[in-house]
Amino acid sequence: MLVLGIETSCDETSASVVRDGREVLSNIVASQIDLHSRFGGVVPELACRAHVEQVLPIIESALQDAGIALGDIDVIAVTSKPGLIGALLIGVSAAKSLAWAAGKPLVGVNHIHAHAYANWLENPDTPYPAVALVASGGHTSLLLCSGPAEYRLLGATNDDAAGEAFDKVAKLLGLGYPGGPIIDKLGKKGNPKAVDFPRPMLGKDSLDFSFSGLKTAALYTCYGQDSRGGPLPMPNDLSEERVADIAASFQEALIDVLVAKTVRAADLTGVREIVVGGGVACNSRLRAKMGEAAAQFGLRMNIPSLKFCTDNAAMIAGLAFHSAARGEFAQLDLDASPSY
Amino acid sequence: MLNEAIRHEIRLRLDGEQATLRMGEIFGRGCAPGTIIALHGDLGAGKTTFVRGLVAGLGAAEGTRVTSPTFTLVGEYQGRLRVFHFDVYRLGSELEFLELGAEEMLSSGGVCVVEWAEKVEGCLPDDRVDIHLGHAGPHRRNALIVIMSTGADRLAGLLQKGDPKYGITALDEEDNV
Repeated sequence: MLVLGIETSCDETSASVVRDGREVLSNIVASQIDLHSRFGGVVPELACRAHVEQVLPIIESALQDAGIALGDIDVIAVTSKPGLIGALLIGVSAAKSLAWAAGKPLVGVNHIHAHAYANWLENPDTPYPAVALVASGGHTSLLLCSGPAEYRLLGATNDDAAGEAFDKVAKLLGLGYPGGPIIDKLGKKGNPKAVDFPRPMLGKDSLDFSFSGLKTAALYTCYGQDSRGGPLPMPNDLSEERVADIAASFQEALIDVLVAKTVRAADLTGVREIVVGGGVACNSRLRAKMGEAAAQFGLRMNIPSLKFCTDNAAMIAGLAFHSAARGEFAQLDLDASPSY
Repeated sequence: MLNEAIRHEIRLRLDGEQATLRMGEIFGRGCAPGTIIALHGDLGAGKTTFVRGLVAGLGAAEGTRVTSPTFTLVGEYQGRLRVFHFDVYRLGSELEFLELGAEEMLSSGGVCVVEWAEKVEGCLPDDRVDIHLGHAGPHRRNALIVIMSTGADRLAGLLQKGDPKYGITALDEEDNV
């Protein structure tokens, strides 16, 4: 079965052709990072305008790259939630129009589920059940994956997403956007024990996350306090070493929480396979520490290569194969939704 | 005008995150349909924390998760009234705020709460509540609440009393927020 996948939920416009949920024939990703980096975050209007301009040419190149004509595609799949509503609508409208014009069935895909599925694109033999941590700029969730396309939410962030915390702290430190890769690189030069940041766990058995307090702790560490106790308007002259130390310590605290919660989720569900996905899964420190923890607790870590961690349409087309095999199709009134 | 808006100005000291949450809850219990709340304050001042209390105070189902809408721009919750939670931090213009469908939500009769409201001030009606949250230490915030809203006397009364048990006390006039 040949599936054409379309993904426009945030800053990447992407299209891909995947055969039988595992063989990636093409995967084209156009990033808007350059557009957004000037603004220190994803600017929604820019995101939507760029998606409109790019979505059809990207779909064409995905088909061309795969050497497949639209008529030979069996299913058209699109991210329908969660994400930036305006951006999602562009992908959903394109997919619905194509499905209608070409007379193909349509599948709506949950973006967070697809990030978990990305592992199976590369490691199709990972046994079920597995616990998946999906962490990105907009999401931080733990899922129980009992089978292909059988996912249950175990926990999620109560406030800021992990990637959002990286972005906001990078901005505090004057480091630019996107914050994750910059802090990852800088953190290698810093001392992760320089600042003892809080590691919010929300109780022993909670599988939810909270990163808002960590962000505020970073704020006070960077800026210092004025006589009234509020943060100073401008950073004290932070040395390069100090900035690297704060970045490394913040990253360490956040990753400790991600790792501890994932291990806890595996423990509570009695699962031995751990899957990591989402843009934050590109972080080298997270990959290393999750690997160490897995070894320590007798678990197995499965993590796709970087190109399948960040947003891409191959994971959408891959997961949609399993939904289609189960007969889970969407109608042409498929709607986009910002929430899970 | 039959119901002329009366101006109330309330200054509160908030000790600990619990106090900000509690202030949100008091708002949630006391606010009238169609109340529009403009939130002002820096990163980490407690804006989303306030909204979490507000949604709880409006009687949303237990376990309702109020997450930062920095990414999705607007979140929606259902309590005794519907709540629209905007975060306009990333928006470039007031036009983009309107493109989100803001006008419809502002006149829906639900409670609208807008983080970084100064960026879309021109789109908000004068009949509203402004809350300025300021850092006054890692665990302390000061709040200046300006109510220019009809039918808000009861809410103003509730707030003026504070709630010392939860760390909410009156702030001295000369203390800046």
